[in-house]
Amino acid sequence: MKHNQIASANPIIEIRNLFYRFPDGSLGLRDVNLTIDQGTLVVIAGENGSGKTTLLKHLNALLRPTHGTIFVEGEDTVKNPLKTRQKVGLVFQNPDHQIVGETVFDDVAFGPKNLMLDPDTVKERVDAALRIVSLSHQTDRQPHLLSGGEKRRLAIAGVLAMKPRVLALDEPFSSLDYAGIREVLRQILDLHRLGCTVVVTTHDVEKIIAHADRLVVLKNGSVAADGPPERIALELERFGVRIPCAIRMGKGFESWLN
Amino acid sequence: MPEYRLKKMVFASLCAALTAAGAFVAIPVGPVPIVLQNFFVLLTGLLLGSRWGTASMGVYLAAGVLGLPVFAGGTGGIGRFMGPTGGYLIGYLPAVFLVGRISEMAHARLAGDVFAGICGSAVVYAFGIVWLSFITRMNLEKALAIGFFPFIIGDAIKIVAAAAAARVLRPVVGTSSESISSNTSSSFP
Amino acid sequence: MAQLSILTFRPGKTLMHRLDTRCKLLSFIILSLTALNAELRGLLILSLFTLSLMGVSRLFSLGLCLKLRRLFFFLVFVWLARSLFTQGTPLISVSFLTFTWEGAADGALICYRMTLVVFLSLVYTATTKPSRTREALHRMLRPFPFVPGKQIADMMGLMTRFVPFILDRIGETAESQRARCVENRKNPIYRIKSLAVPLLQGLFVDAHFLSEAMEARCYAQNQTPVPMPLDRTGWIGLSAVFFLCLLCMMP
Repeated sequence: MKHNQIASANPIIEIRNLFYRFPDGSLGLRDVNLTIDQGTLVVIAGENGSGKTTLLKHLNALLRPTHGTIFVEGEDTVKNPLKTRQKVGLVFQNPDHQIVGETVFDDVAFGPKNLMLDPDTVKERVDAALRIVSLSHQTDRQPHLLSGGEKRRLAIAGVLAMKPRVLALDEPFSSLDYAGIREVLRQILDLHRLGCTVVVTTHDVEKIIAHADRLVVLKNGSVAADGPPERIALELERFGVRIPCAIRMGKGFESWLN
Repeated sequence: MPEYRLKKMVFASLCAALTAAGAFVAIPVGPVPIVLQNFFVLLTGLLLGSRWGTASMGVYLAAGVLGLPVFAGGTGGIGRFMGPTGGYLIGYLPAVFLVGRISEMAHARLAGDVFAGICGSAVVYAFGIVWLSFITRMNLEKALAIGFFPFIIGDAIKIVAAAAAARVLRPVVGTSSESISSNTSSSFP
Repeated sequence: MAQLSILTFRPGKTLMHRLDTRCKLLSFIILSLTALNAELRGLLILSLFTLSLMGVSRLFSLGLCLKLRRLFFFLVFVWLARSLFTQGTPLISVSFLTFTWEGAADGALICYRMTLVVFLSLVYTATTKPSRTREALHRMLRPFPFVPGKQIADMMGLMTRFVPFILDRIGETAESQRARCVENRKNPIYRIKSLAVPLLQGLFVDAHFLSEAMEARCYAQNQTPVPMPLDRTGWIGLSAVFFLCLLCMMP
């Protein structure tokens, strides 16, 4: 199978012996080794405090490893954090924390403007990103008046406008209603189809597992299980993650889009 | 841009916004309304220190000059500086600098914070009263009676509250990013 | 913020809305400074000009006048104080209070000036988007070395972003505490403390996350500048204002 721990053909992210110690002394990540292939959709599951968010922040060079290295497209993240941030777009858990601009347009333009692109390109990219997340008709609205699902899509657009190679989403489904989850899920899958590598963390794998190429389970800061979802899913509950209902009843995976 | 500077900049903007929000909840008593602005001016100095505190208040006042509605009662514009309460606004700048400076020198000890608060308030009122008596031609005594004495108790409370709030907030403001981000996302959803 | 204040942007397509922001900003600063120094004749000319600006930008409305009540209160106070505390020929005398002729005249002039400045800033803010003001400020500060124009403009932007957020959060926190019967506690200090501490803590933690998110999106001091071509109308407007002010200040 293409996604076993065996050296893969086309890695985009390589994490080697990653340790991370919080300033208070506790270990956040211990000896994480992961290779993520280009174009795959990887789900990182784990209970609260298992190190999911900490791991994502390393992919984006927001955190520096205490020990070990991370390569994005063969480049060390610590040596070139700005380039890394452009390649790996990170969407945080709470969209309210990410909104910078006064209007939807301004907010999406924030990233490309920081990249010093010329005004026409900025506009082009913002329009394209808003089209992808179907917010084109809302360009002049105030972001904090949007609905929960719209805010989340806005946060994704803000990252898309920087044209990342990898899209990393932290708990993208939290506090959304059924319609909101389906909206965001469809968005993620569309992007994946367009060739984006997607990394999603969640404690509730049910919503996306049917579409995942690979499932990684974190427990206490280290990788507890890694492999194709159909193999790992049954063991999930050992690591504090709920097994999707359908599997429990022996039906196999079911997409939330059907 | 170093991460530390970006963070200070965002915090300074938040303090400016808090000061503006403090002006919205103005209680109109007499010609000089009771506002929470003074409280936030002191808190800004205590939390951000002289340099970023001054930047924060500078941005707040500049926004007001440019006509953004950030002053008491939801107004803005140069006119406010020329009005009877303009002196208090100008006084925020030296006050926040002084508060930040004293608190830095006292290494954030409680007594130092309170002393800094007293000095800061004194500066705000000195500027405010001189301007008030200048614009209304009142003598200093009357200006004090209108622009200072009614607020002494309120300001004493504000000083104590600012010093207390600074104690609670310093861990959030001062620490490096990692220690907050470790897992506060669950406690502050 | 929008609901709470008088002086807010009103979308429109009038000449005033279309004018170059830098020229508009400079014009209004010059006009305000002139108004604060002008004598009666100059003030009358400026009033006519301001009224015509308000006409051009369609700003006359009853609601506006009602919202200016607060200003009126301020003005009456200044006028009364001036009349009472200026030395001169007594006009009316009630026990120890003396109204002087000079004071009343002087006070009226000052009130006139302040009213004019308020109306001028009203025209400016009602016809200019806050974000345009910031861009203009950034542009105007750029030629000066050692003045971090970009940073000032960015901080102003963050500030305007935070204000509605803070007001929302105050409401949310207060409601959630009422839901847990905070009203049963009669001690006001306890109530203020239990509201303010989590509120401020939460806000600073939010700000921390915001700075992290900005970093994740490569925040930099150098950003794509916003194109702001200077057109002829802007220059014409600015020079017209300049001559008008000269006219007002001429002895």
